[in-house]
Amino acid sequence: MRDPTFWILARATGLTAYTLMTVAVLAGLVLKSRPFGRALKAASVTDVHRFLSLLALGAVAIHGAALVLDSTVKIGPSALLVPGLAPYRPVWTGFGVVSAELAALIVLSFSLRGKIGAKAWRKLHWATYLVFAAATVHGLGAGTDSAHSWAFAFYLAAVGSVVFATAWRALTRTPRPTTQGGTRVRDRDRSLAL
Amino acid sequence: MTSHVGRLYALALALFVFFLTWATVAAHPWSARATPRADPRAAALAARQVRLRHESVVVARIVRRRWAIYRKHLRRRQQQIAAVNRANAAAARQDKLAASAAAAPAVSASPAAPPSVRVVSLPPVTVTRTS
Repeated sequence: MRDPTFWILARATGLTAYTLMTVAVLAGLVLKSRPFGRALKAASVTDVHRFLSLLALGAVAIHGAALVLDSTVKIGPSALLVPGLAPYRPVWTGFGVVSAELAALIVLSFSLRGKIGAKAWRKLHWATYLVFAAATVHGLGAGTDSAHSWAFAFYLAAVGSVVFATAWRALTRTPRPTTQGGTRVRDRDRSLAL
Repeated sequence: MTSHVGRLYALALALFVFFLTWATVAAHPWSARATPRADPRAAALAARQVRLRHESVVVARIVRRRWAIYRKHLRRRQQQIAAVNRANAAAARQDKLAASAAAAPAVSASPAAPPSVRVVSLPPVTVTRTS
């Protein structure tokens, strides 16, 4: 009988990556809208936001590796990089590949912010919504467990929470950062919050 | 600024979510597919049992309805028969009374008289023998 360990690992890490990505997006939105007031330090939230993004990317990497190692679906290493090469539901898996690559680019941009500039970094960061949407479509379309009601409820809860947080953020007005005691708030500190 | 506590919580969340999803995916705790596949013959028998039970309920309902209609008709018919019997009995009684009433004067007009005896004298018996 075939060993399902890698198959289960791929599914579990896929769902874990999606959860971590959702929480990372929520943390990013919390940075700007500040629903908890000053209870959470912006710098700490930023650090957790970055760390969650890295963890999500790590889970995505394990997800891809497990899919390559598993024999249930024949997926080669090239299918992890080029959208549409996977023989299993190529369109939906393609969404996953695009989402993962874009997520890697955004996570990488954290370190390259100084080089690319805060403005470009902020514009690139808007692509997070695209990453989240593509990951959701990938999960719903290619996920083995998407047919189950619990999985559907999970995706619905994730999308609902992000939509709610985005709406909250859009409706909440935050004053533009100004000088504090004569010194201007560092561009780095304010630009991290979209 | 590195938030060690925040990172610890994030890592704990990641591990918790990973093991939870692993358990969910592997064990299917809320899935109907998690239950072992039943023997198809047993499943067919169970389905047949359910169907028969349903049919028996339907048949019992039909029988009850027909039995109620039959009893109603029977009661009506018995009443009709009883009415006809009563009418017949009354007619018979009337006929009897009428017959007895018609026969009564004839009986009183000719009472049963003793048969009349007539005395006759017959000639004497004579034997003539020639030899």
